[in-house]
Amino acid sequence: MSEKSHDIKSEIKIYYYVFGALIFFSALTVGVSYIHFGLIIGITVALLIALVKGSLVASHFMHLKSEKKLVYFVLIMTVIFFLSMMTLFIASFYDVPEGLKFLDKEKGKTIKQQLPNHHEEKKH
Amino acid sequence: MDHAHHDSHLLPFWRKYIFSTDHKMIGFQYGFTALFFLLFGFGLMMLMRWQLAYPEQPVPFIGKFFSDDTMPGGVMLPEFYNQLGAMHGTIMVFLGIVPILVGAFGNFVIPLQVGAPDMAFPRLNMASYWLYFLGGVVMLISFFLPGGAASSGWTSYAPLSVIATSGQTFWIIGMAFLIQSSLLGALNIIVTIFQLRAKGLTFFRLPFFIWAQLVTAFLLVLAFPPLLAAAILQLMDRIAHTSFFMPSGLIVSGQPLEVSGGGSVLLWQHLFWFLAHPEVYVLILPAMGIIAEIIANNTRKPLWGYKSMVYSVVFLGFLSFIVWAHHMYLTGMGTVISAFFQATTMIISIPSVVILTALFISLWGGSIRFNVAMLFALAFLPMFGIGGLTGLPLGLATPDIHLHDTYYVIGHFHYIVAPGTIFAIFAGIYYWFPKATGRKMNEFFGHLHFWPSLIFMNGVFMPMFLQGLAGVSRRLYDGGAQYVYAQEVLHWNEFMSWSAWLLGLAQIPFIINFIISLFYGKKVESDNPWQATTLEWQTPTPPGHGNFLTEPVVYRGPYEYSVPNAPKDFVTQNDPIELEIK
Amino acid sequence: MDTIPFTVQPREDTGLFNAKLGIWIFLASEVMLFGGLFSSYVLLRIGSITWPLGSDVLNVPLGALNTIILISSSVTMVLSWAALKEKNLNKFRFNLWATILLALAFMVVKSFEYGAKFSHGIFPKESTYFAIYFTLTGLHAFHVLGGVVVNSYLLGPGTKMWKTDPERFVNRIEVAGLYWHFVDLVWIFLFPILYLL
Repeated sequence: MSEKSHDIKSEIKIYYYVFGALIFFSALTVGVSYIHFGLIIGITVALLIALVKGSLVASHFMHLKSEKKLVYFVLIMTVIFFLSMMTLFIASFYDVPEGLKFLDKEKGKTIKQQLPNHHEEKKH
Repeated sequence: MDHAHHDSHLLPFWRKYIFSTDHKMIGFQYGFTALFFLLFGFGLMMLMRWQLAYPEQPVPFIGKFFSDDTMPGGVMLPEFYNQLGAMHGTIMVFLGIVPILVGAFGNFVIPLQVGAPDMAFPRLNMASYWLYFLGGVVMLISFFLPGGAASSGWTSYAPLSVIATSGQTFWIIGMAFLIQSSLLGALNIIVTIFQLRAKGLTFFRLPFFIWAQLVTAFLLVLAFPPLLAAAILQLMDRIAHTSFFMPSGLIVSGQPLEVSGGGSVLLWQHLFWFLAHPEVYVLILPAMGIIAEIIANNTRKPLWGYKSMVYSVVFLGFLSFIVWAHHMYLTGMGTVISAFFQATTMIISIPSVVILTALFISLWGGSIRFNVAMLFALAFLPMFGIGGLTGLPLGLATPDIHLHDTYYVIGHFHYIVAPGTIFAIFAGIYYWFPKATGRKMNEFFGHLHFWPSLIFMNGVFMPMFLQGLAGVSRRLYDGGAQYVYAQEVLHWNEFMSWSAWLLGLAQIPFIINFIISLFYGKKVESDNPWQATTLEWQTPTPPGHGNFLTEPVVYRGPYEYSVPNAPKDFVTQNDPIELEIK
Repeated sequence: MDTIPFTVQPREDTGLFNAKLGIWIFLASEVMLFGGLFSSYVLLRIGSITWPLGSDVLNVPLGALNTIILISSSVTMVLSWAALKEKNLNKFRFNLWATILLALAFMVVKSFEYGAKFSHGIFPKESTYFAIYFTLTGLHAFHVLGGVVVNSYLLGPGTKMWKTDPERFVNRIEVAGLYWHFVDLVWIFLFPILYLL
């Protein structure tokens, strides 16, 4: 019985460490946003940090690191279908027949790049 | 565990029949409600078919009961025709078929077939039913709004649906209720199947019906939420005047629309079809499950290729998530992405064919009993075959250019759902009626129901392929009359309408049979009148609260029919007898 | 109800009790719901001609504060479950109270933010950016409220089960916690995407 309470006490300690890590990464997220990467790198960095934070919450608070196979299976299926959904949405957007107006196929960029864009104009 | 004597009969009326948490009662609730909606949705279509057969003629007998907003002088307005069309689809799919397959058959049969006392979450089950009921009420009320019900197709494409009358808002709200109901119900089914299986009931001993319901439940859980997201976005567009789906520069009735613009019309289509494609597998998988049970039972043989069927249904479920844009070939997608969806769509036909073939081959060498359930099950096979095969030119992007949004599509999917799924539903009702009520339905009336239904189903839907190939578009109020190229196939409209009305008449023997057999049907002499192997037949009839008298233990697979050296031509799953394998 | 097996004890082959599997399946559906909205965000953004930088139009300090608030509430939630494992009812109560109060604080900050926008005449219809901002955060806030309701019930009348069926009560707190951590998880992604990018 005392072994179990020792276990839970050390688990509680880990929760506090994770809390600290989450606060650190949150500060990092805000801090990094002041550095002026381009949009793509900015998104990647932000998402990476969010993924780290999310994994901490999922594996420790939600006990996922010691969960059962069936739960992993359900979650992996979910992630696969979510990613497929997002990827295919984006792919359908970019793959269009030649001559379609809004996509400047020559430069491989969308015409919107030629218009005033807040990201390039604004000085941070 | 002596369940059958639980004092459920001491529950007050409203706890026993209205707010029941017993899966069998909830199954009945779903069943009766869904049968009503199926009939109602069918009625909507019979009304539409009058307009198609006799355009601009007053509807006889009942025309005078309709308001001037819908049918002045009994003549259908185009706006009303569109409402009938949109609501026919919505009601049949979401208020009829899915609730009866998953809510009624799923709830009633699954706990019994896995040897459980109830579903995993009985109160959640009750909540699911009432959410469905509320959704149905909201949908029905919408007919009485100024401007009438939703009229932008069951697909509710933007931007038309965003600027449509208030019926569309009710459609969205109704769908939100229905989606929640399905989600919670599917969750319940998955947990029940994984957690409450009887001892010895390993996965490859599960009846195919259970596998089909399990895959269906996963489809519902993972595919419905994006439609809920889309519904929220469309609601925002309609009520808060956002522009999720409203493109810039849209002109309506000569006036530019006062919205911020910048939205994507295709976003709605992607989100909608992300659900709606898996949804069609929700419509067929449980039906295949029902047919499999009935075929095994009435051929007195194990299913041929059970394992292939299981692998196929799982593979099909997985693939169904990545085929959806074959509904969007004509939206301006490029060749690469179209080729991707075409490939996945072609591949997904394979597991369907495997399942259908296995069911066909299961008939070979069987001692076939031609009761009414089996008649419907046998008819299902070629009818679903026609539906499936006619899907091939639709799944290929190039012929789809000609066939998209024509009557060919309507013919294709109706063959699958009408003489496909609905026949499976009828089969299931005739089959499980004795277990649910302790009485059999009348076989003669069953024949009166079956034969005309089979004939008239084909009468309604076969000519649609001809009209579609000739280029007649869907959702046309005049049935194609305005198009020069359609003139030669227009005469089929009258033929199809009469087939539809006669099909309606053919349901009367079923309705009479169903209601009268509930009270006066011939009582069954045993708990297992079909001499079936699966666990639901090893309970008292009808099963009491808790279902099984003693906790069932499973020793063998689900289709041990005609086992050599066995004392009878079937061995039930929970029969401990040890048989020598010769 | 007590005739249904595995409501408390896990089933041997799956290793789970029923509600644990149930809540994970529910969370899977929630991932698809927010995922659908995130996918919409992406599609709308890549198709748009202009898109404001989040930090230009939203209050980053308030958003960061809300992030800290929600993360803290996640910690207190798991601590309340751990307290029950230690059989410390007072610690459980304290931590669940903290969770609820932090959640309400989140809602207060959120209403400040919304109020500020509305008073400047900025509503969802202003632009596609604000439309998705209000919808995503609005749906998230709706889920926060749902969590508050569930946790309040568990702290209030629900605690009776600690006397009658303690193990089942601990499971309930764990399941409620899973939901609550998910709400936190969504915000962890929402915050940088909407406020910083």
